[in-house]
Amino acid sequence: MSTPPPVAPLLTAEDLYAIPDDDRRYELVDGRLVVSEPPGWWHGALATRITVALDGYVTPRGLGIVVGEAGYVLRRAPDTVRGPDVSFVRADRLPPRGRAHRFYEGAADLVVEIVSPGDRAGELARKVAGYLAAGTALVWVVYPEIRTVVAHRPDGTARVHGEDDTLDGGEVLPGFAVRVAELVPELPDAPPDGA
Amino acid sequence: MSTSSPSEPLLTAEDLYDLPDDGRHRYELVDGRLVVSEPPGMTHGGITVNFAMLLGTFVRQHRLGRVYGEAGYVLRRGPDTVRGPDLTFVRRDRLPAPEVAHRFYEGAPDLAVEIVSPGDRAGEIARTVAGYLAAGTRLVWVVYPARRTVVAHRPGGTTRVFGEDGTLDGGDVLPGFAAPVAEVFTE
Repeated sequence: MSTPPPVAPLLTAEDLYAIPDDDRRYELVDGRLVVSEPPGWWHGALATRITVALDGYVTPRGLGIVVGEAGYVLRRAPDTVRGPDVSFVRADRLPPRGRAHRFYEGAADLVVEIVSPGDRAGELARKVAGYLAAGTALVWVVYPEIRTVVAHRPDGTARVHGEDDTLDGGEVLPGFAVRVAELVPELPDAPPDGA
Repeated sequence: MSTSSPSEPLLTAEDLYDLPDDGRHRYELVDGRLVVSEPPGMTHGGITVNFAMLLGTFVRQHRLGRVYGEAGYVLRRGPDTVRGPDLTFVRRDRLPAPEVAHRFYEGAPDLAVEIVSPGDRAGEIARTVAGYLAAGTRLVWVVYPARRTVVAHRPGGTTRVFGEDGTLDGGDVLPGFAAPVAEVFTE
C-alpha cells in the first residue's frame, strides 16, 4: 500500500477500441481503464424494456437512433469513454456513416444508467456529472430496487420519479411519456423451487 | 440490499436500542432487519464537524431548534426502520420531551445530512433518502466528498446539485440559512 504503483501510461479511446472483447465491460476515465463485470440478468431485462419503450417513440418519428450499450468519447486528453446502458442520439447528430462502427465522438443526447447493487454512490455521481458536462441534456438513473427513476439535467436540477409518476422526455424527446411502473416493473415471481 | 433469510425474526427499534454497543460498528434497522456499517473515515468525520458548526451556529443564533450528531430516528413502525443520519436538525416545536430524549426519536428529523463514504452503494443511498422524505423529512443533504458536491433532496421529488462554487440554502426548513459549499469541505 505504501509504495506508489508504477505509473501506468494513460490510454486513449483508440487503445480502448483495440482491446480484444472478453465479455467484460471496459470504460476509460481520464485515460484509466475501468473494468466491470457484465450486469445481472434483471439489469439486462430492464435495459431491453427501456430501449423498446424509447425506440417505439423515436423510430416511427424519425427523431434519431436509440442505442444499446455503446462507447461515447466524452472527453479527450486524457480520454474518457463511457458505455451507458441505453442512449439516444438525435437525428441531426448521427455519426458519419464511415465512423458509426467506432465509438461515438461526443455525448449522447439522452443517457440511461441502470444502477446495479454493487454500484458505488460516489462513482455514479461522477458518471452522471461527466455526461452532463460533455453535453448530454438528460440523464435517467434507474434504481430497480426502489422502482425509481431520477432525471438529471445540466443545470444541476434533478427530479425523482416514483413508480406512480410519469417520466417525460423533456426537451430531448418532446411528447415522450411513460409511467415508471411500466418502465421498471416489479420482478415477476419465480416458480417455486422444484416446480 | 441483500435479503436475509426469511426465518430470521424481525427486530424492533427497542431491540436495536438494547443492543450492546461494541464501539466499532454502526447499526441501523431497515424494515426490521439489521444493517451494520463500519465507522466512517477521517474525511467524513471532518466534513461532519464543518457542517455541524455551520448549522449549529445558525440554529442556536435563531433559536430554531437543535442540531444533532449521529442519533437514531424511528422512521417507520411495523416493521421498524431506524436510521442514524450523520447530522440532523429538529425544529423547536418538535424537540423530544426531556424524559424520552435519551432514546431514539420517534419520527423523522426536519433536516438530515448524509455524508457519502467511498464504499456506499448508490442504490442504498437512494433508498435511505427516499425513506427520510417518506417519513416527513423536508430537506436531505447528501454530501459527496470526492466530488465536493452536495445534493439537496426535497419531498415531491425535486433535487438540486450544488457544486463547490454553489451556496446551500436552508429553504423553508432553515429560512435564511446560506452557506458556501466550499465551507463544508474546508480542511
